[in-house]
Amino acid sequence: MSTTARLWFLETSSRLSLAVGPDIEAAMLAEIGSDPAVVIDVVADEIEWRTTKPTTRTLAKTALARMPGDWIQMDTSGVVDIADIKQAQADVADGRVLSDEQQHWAESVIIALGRGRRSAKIGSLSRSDRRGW
Amino acid sequence: MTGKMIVADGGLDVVALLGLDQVPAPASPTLDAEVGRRVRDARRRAGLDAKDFAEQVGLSRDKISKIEHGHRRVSPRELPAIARALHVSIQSLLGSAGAERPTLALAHRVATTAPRQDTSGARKRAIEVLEAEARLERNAGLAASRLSPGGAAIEQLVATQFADVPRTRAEAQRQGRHLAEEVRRALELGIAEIGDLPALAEMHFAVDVALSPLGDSSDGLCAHDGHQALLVANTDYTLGHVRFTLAHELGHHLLRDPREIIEEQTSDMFGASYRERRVNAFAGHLLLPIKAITTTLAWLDCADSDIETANARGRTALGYLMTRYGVSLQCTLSQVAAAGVVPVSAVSALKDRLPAGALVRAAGHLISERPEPVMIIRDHRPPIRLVNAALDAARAGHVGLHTVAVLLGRKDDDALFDEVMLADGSESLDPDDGTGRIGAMVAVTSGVRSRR
Repeated sequence: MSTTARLWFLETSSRLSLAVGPDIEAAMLAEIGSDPAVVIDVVADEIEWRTTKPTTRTLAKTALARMPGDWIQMDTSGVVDIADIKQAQADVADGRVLSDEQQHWAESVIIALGRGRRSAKIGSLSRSDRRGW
Repeated sequence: MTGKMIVADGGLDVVALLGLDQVPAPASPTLDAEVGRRVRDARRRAGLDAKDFAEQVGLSRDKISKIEHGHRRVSPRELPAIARALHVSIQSLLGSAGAERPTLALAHRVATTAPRQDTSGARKRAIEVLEAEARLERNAGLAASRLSPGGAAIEQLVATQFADVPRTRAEAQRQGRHLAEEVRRALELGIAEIGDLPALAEMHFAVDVALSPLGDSSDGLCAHDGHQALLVANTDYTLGHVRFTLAHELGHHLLRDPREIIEEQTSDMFGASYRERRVNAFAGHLLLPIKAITTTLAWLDCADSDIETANARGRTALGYLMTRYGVSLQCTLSQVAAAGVVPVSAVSALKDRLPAGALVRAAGHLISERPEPVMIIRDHRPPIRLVNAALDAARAGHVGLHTVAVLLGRKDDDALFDEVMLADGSESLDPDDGTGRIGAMVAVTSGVRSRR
């Protein structure tokens, strides 16, 4: 029997949230269920970079160590335009001054991917990102 | 560089699943060139040679060279590494999103034309309002502001009768008064007081008005071009002063001041230039018309000498005019002089001699329940067109709540969220929001079947 098929894209903060503790991890994995989950290259790079930052080092290392083996890793080069990401980042920021140099970047790549699709519907579980799709 | 797809046991092709097209290279030639130039400039500022920079980023020197010359598109993955190596933000390499849009272009000019290095409170307020407007234009199809029929008549009048800058002080006074009287005629105001001046300006003249307490920043600012107009007034002054400032800035706009951004302190507003004298005359006659003075003085049986000697009757009359018309003592005395009640030479001495607050209190028995023009209100008034559009857009998910918060001058917090998003009784809140954000997981519904 078919179920509602969903494909999950996890951005950096959700990947880090998974590493916070078993309760959050269990809740997120339950939500994803048997749906395929995707981690784009930009998210993976950012988590690697955050292993070098004192404030996020522990979480980032845990996140890398605990990535489920069946999650899909995606190379985004060539399938998303920088101009679209730039616009998505501005939309997500919604006029706020970004708190660090990479804030919203990976998330914006995902949104730009979603906006560039020819098929499928897209939605977000994040309150702050639910706009303009 | 080509996009390759996906991995994984099931052989799931995400690109095909989403129906993504390969982005042609170069996808955005202009942006690629701009990003390349910014990368090159930032690298030089950082004192990095191309070889060291390439090593840090993990790209070949050839690729770096092509990026810097706009011949190779930076990938989403490379840009963060480049920004980190250069110790700059990704945004600084990309530039402002949508800067080609007229509204953002005006915001940019407001930001970059400040005479001092630090951006004043008035400019900051103008920039954030214009940026919010640009987001609403892009994401929510914001309707353009429109002239009322009366406003359109004034625009036509200005184009035909006020094209020339006045060459004498008297001509400046005449022009300002003439325009104010025409505005009152076109809007059928008679000699009535203008209660809600910001609303009147927005309703008839296709401007947005933002009032904010801006500390010791400028008194007011007018930012306008052929696309839009924004007037900002600092409410850290007395009500009468704020209203005069707003009328003054409106005058700059209506008279098509060729300067796109006019930011003024009190000393600028009351400068000696005929352009400033003209808009001051406009502001004075708009807020307190001559006929209102003569009618009021006749009603109060107040002779010219009562005003000039500032006896009890004269003080009551002055206080009444100030309170009813919401103007400062300085404006009232200037208008009384313009009406020929007292000589112009007497204005300064009267102003020094008369305490404004006492005049208002002296007229208290004649007029009540009016905000006193001598009070400092420090209110925050957003442009109505924009805040209404932002509320609708936020509820529809087209902009974030931050846009609403900026326009309202409020914190972007849970209280605002509840007020805005729950105001219509909808239950659209994500249950996750009550327990803290768990991340932006983006679900794509498609025809694919679950793998398990």
